[in-house]
Amino acid sequence: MKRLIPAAASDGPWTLLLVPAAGILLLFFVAPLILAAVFSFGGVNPLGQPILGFSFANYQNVFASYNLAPLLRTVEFTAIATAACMLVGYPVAYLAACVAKRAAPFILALVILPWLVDYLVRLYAWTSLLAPAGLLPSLLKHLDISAPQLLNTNFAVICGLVYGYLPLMILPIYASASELQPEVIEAGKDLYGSPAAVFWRVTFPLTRPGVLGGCLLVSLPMLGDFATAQFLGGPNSTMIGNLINDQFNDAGAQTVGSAYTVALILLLVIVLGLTMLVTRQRVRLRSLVGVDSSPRGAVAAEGMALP
Amino acid sequence: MTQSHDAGITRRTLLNYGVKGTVAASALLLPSACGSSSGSTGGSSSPAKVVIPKPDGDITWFTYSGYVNPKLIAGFEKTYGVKVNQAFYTNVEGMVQKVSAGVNYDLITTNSAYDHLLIAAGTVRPYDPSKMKNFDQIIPYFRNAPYDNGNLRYTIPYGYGPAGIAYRKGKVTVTGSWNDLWNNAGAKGKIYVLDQQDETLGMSLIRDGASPNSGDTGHVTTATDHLLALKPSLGGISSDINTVIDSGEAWMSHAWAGSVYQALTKLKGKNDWTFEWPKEGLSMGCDTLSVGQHAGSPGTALLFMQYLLEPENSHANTSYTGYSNGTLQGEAAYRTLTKAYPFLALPDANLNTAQWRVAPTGSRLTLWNQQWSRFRA
Repeated sequence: MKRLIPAAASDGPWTLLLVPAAGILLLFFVAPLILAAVFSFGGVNPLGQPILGFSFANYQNVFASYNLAPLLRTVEFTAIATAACMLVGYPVAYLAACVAKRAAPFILALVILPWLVDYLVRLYAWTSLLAPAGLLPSLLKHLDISAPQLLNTNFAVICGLVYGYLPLMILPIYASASELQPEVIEAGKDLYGSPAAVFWRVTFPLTRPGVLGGCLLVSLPMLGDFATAQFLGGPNSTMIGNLINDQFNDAGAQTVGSAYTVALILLLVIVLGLTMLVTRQRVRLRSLVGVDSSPRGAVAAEGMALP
Repeated sequence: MTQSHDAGITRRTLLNYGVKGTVAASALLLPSACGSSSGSTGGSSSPAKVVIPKPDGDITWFTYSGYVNPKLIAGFEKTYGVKVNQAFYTNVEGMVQKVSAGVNYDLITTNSAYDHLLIAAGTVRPYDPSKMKNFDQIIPYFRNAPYDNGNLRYTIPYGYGPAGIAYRKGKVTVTGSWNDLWNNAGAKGKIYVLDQQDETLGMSLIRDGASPNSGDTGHVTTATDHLLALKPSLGGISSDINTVIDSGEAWMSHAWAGSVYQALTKLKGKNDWTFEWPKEGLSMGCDTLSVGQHAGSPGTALLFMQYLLEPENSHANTSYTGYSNGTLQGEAAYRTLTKAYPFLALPDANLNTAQWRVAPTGSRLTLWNQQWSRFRA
């Protein structure tokens, strides 16, 4: 049987070190999920406390036709914001990892420091920025440019999502780009690859794991986000997270909220599973055709013969 | 396959123990997380003892942040030699969940819509009004309020300010009706409604001539249809009245009078704004104070309630919070506060015809949730 922990490490008291972490995970992560799953089939008493039962009534609410619009909107916002995070985050991560290595700590600090401020505070800042009397419209007005409505729009929600989750995209790409070997890129150039060709055939494939990791880290929490749409969105910006929040915090219907939560988790698991499947298929195909996954192999796979 | 005889942990054994442990933990958590179908929380089944106001220790008050004049806390602590600690919540439903789960708060800012449920479940304790000094400070409207009308009382009023329509003069046309929200096509994208199911759905029901507590599928569905018809004109669904008014986003907003007062006191262009109490009627809610069932110092909690009813304290508290508190001096303080904004004073006629909100339960809860989700989607 395959060992999860080497015998040397698992023998003796060292194994006990796993217990607190495992206990915390089970108690505060897995057990609440199980409770949510159990409650999702129950009802509530007059005070809104869950009562155990077995009914699909809560799921009928979840799969009602009117929920399709917020679901599609959530997926749309997440896809656009994830793509925007990648477009904005990749150059920043690449700059820090490969171009301005000495300034990397400073660049990363600039990325991370605002993130340490509470998310709601940052959203309020965005409200002040985008409101009709806010900084951005005032600036545009000063420049004699007629500003469209910015706050309470889907555009504002997407901006808020990008701003809120950008560091989660930059950090994995930075980690991936930091491992890039300059000689591999040099090899691409030596083989008369244009800058664009070298990027698309060498640099990007080698940083793809970071990009993929970043996309997952960014998109999964975005799918459950509710604060951004609540603060920056308009009447037609409701996301699935808002519906869940409504059930728990406004409607006093924990069990319906639990059903929404379970459905969302299943959606996330499907997204995650599909991503892993695609990645595995890709690795399997590459191994079948004998492609080396090392940097040298990547260059070779893209049709450039290495010296 | 050869069975390993090493002492190392295998993936299977780890998973096995993990699953068993998690199921056990969930099973342990279930009883405390679940309620009974009657709404009882499993507390003591004997009738709760009537509380007498007397200092019997420090108290913890479960309330909204910034919802009391801090000078009153300091004064009480100095006078009686006890400490008033505050724990905060952000929404009524969260409060109800914690209180009904049996958390031992001494004093709780409850809400009239839920009071009858909390009383029925035995989560708050009664007091004898005849033993309560300053009880006569409470105006008759609240002394006879339907949410708490027994021989013994469980609550005192603490803050109220129903919702009407705040609007910018010259930007919209008004007729003193809830219809004004629907009939201002020129203000498209500048109209707001509250992001609170009971207020907004209740408002639409009142506009239709129905009860704001209706459980009739036809009424609630029609009221939601009307809200959906309003949706294209909305700039947002928000309860953050301060931001809505202050940012210049709104020309017209369904809003609580108290929140409008707070927003206008900080607004440069406050003379541009005014407020109307729609003629079709209002839905009424009031924050109230109660002693918790599991209070460790119930006497101090009730003593603090009595202290807040003292005329000068009542006046000072309303002057600080901006919400009238249903007492003689509180009402007087509110009138003084709103001298600059007389439109925010609630006329007696509107107060007397306002309908008390009752929290939805059972099939009404399901119906309202479905319709609210339909509107929000």
